[in-house]
Amino acid sequence: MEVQWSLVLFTLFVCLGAGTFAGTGLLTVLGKGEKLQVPAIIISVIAVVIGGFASFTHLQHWDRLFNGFGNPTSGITQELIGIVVFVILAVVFFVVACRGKTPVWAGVLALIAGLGLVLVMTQSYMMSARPVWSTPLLHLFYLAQAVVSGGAMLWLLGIITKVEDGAQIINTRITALGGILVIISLFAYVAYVGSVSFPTVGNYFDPTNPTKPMADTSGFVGTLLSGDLAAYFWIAVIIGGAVAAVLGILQWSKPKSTVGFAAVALVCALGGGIAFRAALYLMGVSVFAFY
Amino acid sequence: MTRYAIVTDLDRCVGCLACSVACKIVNTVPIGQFWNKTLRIGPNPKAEGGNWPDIELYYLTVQCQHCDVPQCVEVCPTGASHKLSDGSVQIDKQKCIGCQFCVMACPYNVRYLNEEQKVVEKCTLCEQMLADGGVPQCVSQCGGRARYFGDLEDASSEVAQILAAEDPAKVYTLPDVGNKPGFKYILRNMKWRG
Repeated sequence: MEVQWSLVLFTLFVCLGAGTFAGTGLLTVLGKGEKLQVPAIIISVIAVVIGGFASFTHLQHWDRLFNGFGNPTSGITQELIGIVVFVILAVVFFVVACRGKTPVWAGVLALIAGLGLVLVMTQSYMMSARPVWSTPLLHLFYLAQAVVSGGAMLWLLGIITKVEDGAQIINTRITALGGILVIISLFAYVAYVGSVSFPTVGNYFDPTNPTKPMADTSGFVGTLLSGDLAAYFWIAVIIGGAVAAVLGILQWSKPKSTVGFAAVALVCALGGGIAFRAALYLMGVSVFAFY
Repeated sequence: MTRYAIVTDLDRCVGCLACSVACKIVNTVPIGQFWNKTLRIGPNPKAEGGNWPDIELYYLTVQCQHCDVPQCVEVCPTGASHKLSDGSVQIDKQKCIGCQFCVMACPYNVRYLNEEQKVVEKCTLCEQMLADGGVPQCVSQCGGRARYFGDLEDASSEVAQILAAEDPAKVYTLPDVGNKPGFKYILRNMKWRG
């Protein structure tokens, strides 16, 4: 299917916002990074809202959004509920953070809300009609994306806000681990995609579309590693995973680092994320691919 | 409970495309789109490694299968895609926001976005004709008399009787990924390939 850029940006920004919020929660639990809590919460809410608007651009009739909206089994409904809950919890965290030292419970709540939103968002793509998407590895990939992009965002914010309580060591390590997790999830995805089998009908012909080649549902692994989709895959692995991880590792134990490292890590995490999301759509073939 | 469905005897289908064309005309389906396609499956060897003349082919009519557990209805955020008490799956165009998640959730790719109206469309089983006591146009126009329409739950209906008289091993559905497709296909002397 064609790349749905609105949804690519939606999942990208939700992962960024949710990862930033979850990372802030982790820092709070560990008693670090008090100075970057407020800007981090603001950034995370802005990112999620941008993602929400990006998804609106996918709708053909957003003016009818509340004309019966609310089917509870719909992933879109669940995503909207998740985003509303996320924003409410972010506001609660913001108010608590503005009043003084943020309690641990708020950090735990932020951690759960951030990771939970990513899981809810991913769940809407679990469609048995699209076998390439319908795997827990998609949850793993999006969680890894949230960790690496959220970690890099916190790292950058830490430099800008000049935090000096050891938070930056944690931020660089979150970024590094997130990058490694991205690489693991991508290669696991290659193995999974290779194991997916599609129904075949042998030779067939669609008389309404006589020049269209027969659908080729075999060889996605080859396609991902070395074929048509290889560029997307390797950009995601090398730029989105390895570069972000190496930059994090280079700053693993340094409480202070240059803004360039963090900015590059963030850009790479987002760029790699866009690349593999595009690949996910391009290989999102339906079970019966002959219509 | 009513469960309207179409049963297609593929041994009788001659691939004339009358069903596809009639559907387009009666439902004003946009150019380039189809609610009902007739695919030619084959020619394929009858046995592994076989060659002409030991080959076979059949025609497979594909459209919305009006599933018992329609995934399109599950993912629709506004309830625009819904299942009626007669078993058919319909789209309320006034409620459709054009998110196209139903298009993604359909295993058979039979839904599409109407670029003019900005809503999703697909086979309605010619509900306007059912309301007048008729049958879907693809059934009434079938040149090979291969298509039958009726209530699968009504033992006296033509479709129920045809299926009851048939060897169950020769009755097929399109691939089922938990959606339980409602339409049935009969193929007796060839290998079903999906």
